[in-house]
Amino acid sequence: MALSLNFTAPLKQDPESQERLRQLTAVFADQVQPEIDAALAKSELVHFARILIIDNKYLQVLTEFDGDPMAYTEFFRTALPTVFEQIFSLVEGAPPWPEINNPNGFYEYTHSLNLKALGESVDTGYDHGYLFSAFGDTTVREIKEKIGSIL
Amino acid sequence: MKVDFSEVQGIIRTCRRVTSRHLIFRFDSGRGARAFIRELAERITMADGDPNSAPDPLLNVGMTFNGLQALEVDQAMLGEFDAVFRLGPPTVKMALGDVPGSRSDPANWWENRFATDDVHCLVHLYAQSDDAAADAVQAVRQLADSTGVTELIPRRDGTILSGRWFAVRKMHFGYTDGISQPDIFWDDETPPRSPEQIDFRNFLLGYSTDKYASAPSSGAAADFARNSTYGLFRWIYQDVAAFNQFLAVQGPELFPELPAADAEELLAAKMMGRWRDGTPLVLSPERPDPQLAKSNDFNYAIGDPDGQRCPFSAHIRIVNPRDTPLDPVVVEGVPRVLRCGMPYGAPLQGTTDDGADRGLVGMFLCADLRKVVHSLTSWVMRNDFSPVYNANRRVQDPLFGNRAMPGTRAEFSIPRVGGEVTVKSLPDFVHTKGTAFLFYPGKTALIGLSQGAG
Repeated sequence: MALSLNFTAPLKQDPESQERLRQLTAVFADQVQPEIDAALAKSELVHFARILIIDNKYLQVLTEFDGDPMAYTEFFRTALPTVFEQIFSLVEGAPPWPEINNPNGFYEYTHSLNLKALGESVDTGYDHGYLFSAFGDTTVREIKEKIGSIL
Repeated sequence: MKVDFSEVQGIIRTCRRVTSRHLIFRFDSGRGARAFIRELAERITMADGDPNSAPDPLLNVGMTFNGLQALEVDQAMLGEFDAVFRLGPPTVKMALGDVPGSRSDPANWWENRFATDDVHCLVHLYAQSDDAAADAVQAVRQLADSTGVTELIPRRDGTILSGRWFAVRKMHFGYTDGISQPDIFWDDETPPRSPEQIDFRNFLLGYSTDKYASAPSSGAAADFARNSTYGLFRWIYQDVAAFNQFLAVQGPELFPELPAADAEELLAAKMMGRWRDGTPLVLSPERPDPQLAKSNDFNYAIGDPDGQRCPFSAHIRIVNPRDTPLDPVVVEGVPRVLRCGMPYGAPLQGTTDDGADRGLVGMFLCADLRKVVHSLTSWVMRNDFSPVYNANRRVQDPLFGNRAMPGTRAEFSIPRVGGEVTVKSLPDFVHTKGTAFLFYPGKTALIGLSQGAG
């Protein structure tokens, strides 16, 4: 059964931070998205992923992925350091990047901002709340293998 | 940089004695806890003496995160400790494989005598005789009484956890232990004797680098924790009767060409990756070889790329995959741990359970608990870290996996020349009865904890 990441962080509201948020939004598709795309594809763990800005007040990173929720945070920190530095610089209350740019600090900070969904998780053992999956516990690797065999 | 062993608890170098006792305590006041640690500190075995000639008992002490809080360590400093250490075992139960509703459910640990959150401190005592161990237990209990520290008894029958070697280096299930302990170099000025030697920063706190990260990573917290280490303490029950029954039934079915006793031994070896005398399957796939029983000089990618000697899911191939290629997401590599556990309970022969408790008092020391829990223990529960498992990434360690782990299959595949044989329904051979994440303070931290500094 895939698990969900519901990373939700409040955004800084001062004019300078909001301007940087606007700039990030403007260049995201061309400059940020390809880098994220490559890292997620390389991981072979993530089913779907998207980043949302809510009323310029909150940022969400929402993903559905396979495996231990915290096992591979270090892969994403090392694969996307500039992306996370940029994002966390916009987050209210985030420690300075040098403080969390290490395996333990990054693990703990991302863990602290992961919201539990409503309801109860099914067949995962994790207390992450409800997540529907039409594919049961089929993993990204297994889906790719099965798709590959019929294409 | 050379490690000063007088600053390090001796457990990092040795805990080899005939028997052990593991006393569990709850701190009820900061003042009492500090007095307890202060008095105990004088009795702790540090790593600078000759461990073989040191008098009984060898004494070492570790505290949980809740224990450090009860000792009233500065909250800001505690906030810099290892994230998994801070979360505690019940919170990371799935990474440990302790699935809710299974026999390893943390809700049932410590035989329901107390909550894991109440575990604040463990005192480990190692001695050459039961009398010496009993004297040591008595002395620590007197100290606890006099300082207002409460002992927690983890068994319904009122006994404490105690380890004992019932045969030289033999564990329950019959395997020889202690062969592949990491060879550590403790001095940066002295070049490693071989590429296999491992940097002490894998085990000691306060020396964090980009290559060997640990927490606290820098500043006052790292100064405080320098020469300390983390420990994963596991009380693991082993179902010897079920294991023997499994070998007796499955061995001859899987290897009908062999006499039954040989088939059982081969299956046992395939599950561990070594024959029960210690001989690595990669070096001697047909039979144990006394000349190779202590051998640790082998690899898999070149020596056994298809798993026909040592199955991919064999225990030692999971917890120390050596040169096995890893998935791209495993950027941190394979953590190494120092093992200093001991079997407990009387040995059992045959296939009928006698109802007695037996297993392993497991202790695994490291500098990065987060990494160990989210890699090694997770991989035991699901072999999903290397392309060599691409045929089936849902399989488990055949010896130590919890079959209730969601998303896994209780299968064990044994590649052979001429075709693979597979066990389709592995039973549970172990379950967890208690777990603590411990901080074994070095001398600086011991002084700080005793005095209320930090």
